[in-house]
Amino acid sequence: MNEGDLEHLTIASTAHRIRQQTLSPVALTKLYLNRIERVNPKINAYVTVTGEAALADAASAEGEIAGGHYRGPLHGIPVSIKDNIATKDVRTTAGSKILDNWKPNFDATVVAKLKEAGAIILGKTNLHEWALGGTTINPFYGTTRNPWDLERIAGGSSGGSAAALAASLCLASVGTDSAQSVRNPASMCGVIGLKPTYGRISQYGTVPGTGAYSCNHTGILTKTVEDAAHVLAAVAGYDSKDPLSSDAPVANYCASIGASASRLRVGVLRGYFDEVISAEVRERFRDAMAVLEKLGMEIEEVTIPHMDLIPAVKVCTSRVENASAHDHHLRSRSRDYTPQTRNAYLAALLVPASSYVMAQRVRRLICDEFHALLAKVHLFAVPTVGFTVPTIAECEAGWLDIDGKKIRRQDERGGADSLTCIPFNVTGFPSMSVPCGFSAAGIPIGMQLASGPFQEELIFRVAHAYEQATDWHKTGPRFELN
Amino acid sequence: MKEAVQKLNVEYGLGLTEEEIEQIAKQAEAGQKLFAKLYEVDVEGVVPALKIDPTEKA
Repeated sequence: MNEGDLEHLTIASTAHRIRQQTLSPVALTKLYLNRIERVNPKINAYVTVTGEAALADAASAEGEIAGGHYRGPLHGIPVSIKDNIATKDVRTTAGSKILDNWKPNFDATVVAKLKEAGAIILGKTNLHEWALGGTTINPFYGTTRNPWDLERIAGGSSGGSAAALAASLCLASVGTDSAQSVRNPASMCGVIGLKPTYGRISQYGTVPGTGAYSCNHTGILTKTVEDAAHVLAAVAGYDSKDPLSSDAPVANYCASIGASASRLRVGVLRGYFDEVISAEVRERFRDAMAVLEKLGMEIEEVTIPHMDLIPAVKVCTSRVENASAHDHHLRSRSRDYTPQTRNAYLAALLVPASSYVMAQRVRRLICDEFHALLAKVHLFAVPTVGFTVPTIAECEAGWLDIDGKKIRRQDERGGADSLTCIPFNVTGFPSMSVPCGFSAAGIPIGMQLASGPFQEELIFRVAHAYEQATDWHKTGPRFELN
Repeated sequence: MKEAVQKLNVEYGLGLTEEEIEQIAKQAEAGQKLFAKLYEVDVEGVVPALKIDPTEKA
């Protein structure tokens, strides 16, 4: 195997070879580290590479497997971790200046579970400052560039994780998603991004203030749907260290791979976000729905009575919960935030408590309305991002062009690129971004599939059936490596 | 709103400039305008979703 072969690897195919001992985890890890050394300066996906520890862990995995102790499909698999998730003795910055030298003395539960499963951690991936934004234009650790076009953003806030996968610098990554942050970069970089049900994966060890307590989810990025099922199987479950984690039984996600998706009813979500969906994205999405129909699914349009209030509920909830986590730093190191981030938190400190409570009351109505829709449809579908991936320059200027109409990238409702994602942060429903084509400029476009709570298996069934019926996941970025 | 930001500025020892105070005040006002829509909803008898339990049904 050589470095170029990494572009075609998946967890499923690699795990088989590792188990058969025809592929050495040490040799594989070396290939990834070499590629990171060469490619990362171009895309800035990793902020910290833990090469020495990765090689030691790979050697240990290799020894265990040779001794007949194979732990499962993640044993010997190289992965990366978003840099707002605590890693013992490894710098965890949260994309912030304030934590630029913080080395936790513990692992986040999701990291501990990955290590238990035998995964090899290659390093920490870049993110938007404090995970508060969708561009991964980070003044402290540099901008992460999209491997499909280096002048475009990789999305965010888990931009480094998605870019690392698209550039074949790891086989999986874990990120966090409180508005879009796993699904948006996955869509923009042409990979799978899964935000499971709220509480499905422990959040113990996620840096406080990098996502609102009640909206944040630990998520998974992989190259294929099957790979996401393997990772979720390893990291899902109740955690006594996270009181918000769920003790609902963990399903056999891998059993959903290849199961029929015929006769499932899919509701195409309509609402306030329609105004930011470009003609090009609409067309790719329509094509994707046609594929689902061919696979035997029924498609119908759905919405809820209070759909238009989702941005108000989301913004009010997130800002207040986030600002609470930043109170100490705002008092002691306010100049160590970018002005945009600091101003957002300070403005949030002025939100009346009654508005927060009102947002939670309306949130309950919205959740109830979504639950009622589940009597009509099994899943929801909507574009992951309404428009094609903007350039870094457009994002820095703050304006986007959608079919000739100028819109602000960020307004009081949050990022324009988060509007189609936030319904599933408000409700806590699981949602996955799946590649569904390319723009005229050859940049990936993604669609979301969502289901009712703890019904990730349904998403895996439909997403895998769609993936197998299309070729989008077989194409990689054409960027110049050398 | 500007007054509220000025109070924060003192309480938190932020050292904000006049321009920064105005920016934050504007942002807070835009938020309040957005949240005002929440008060138009009839939430009689609706209990706040203080812990999100995705399995809760209507």
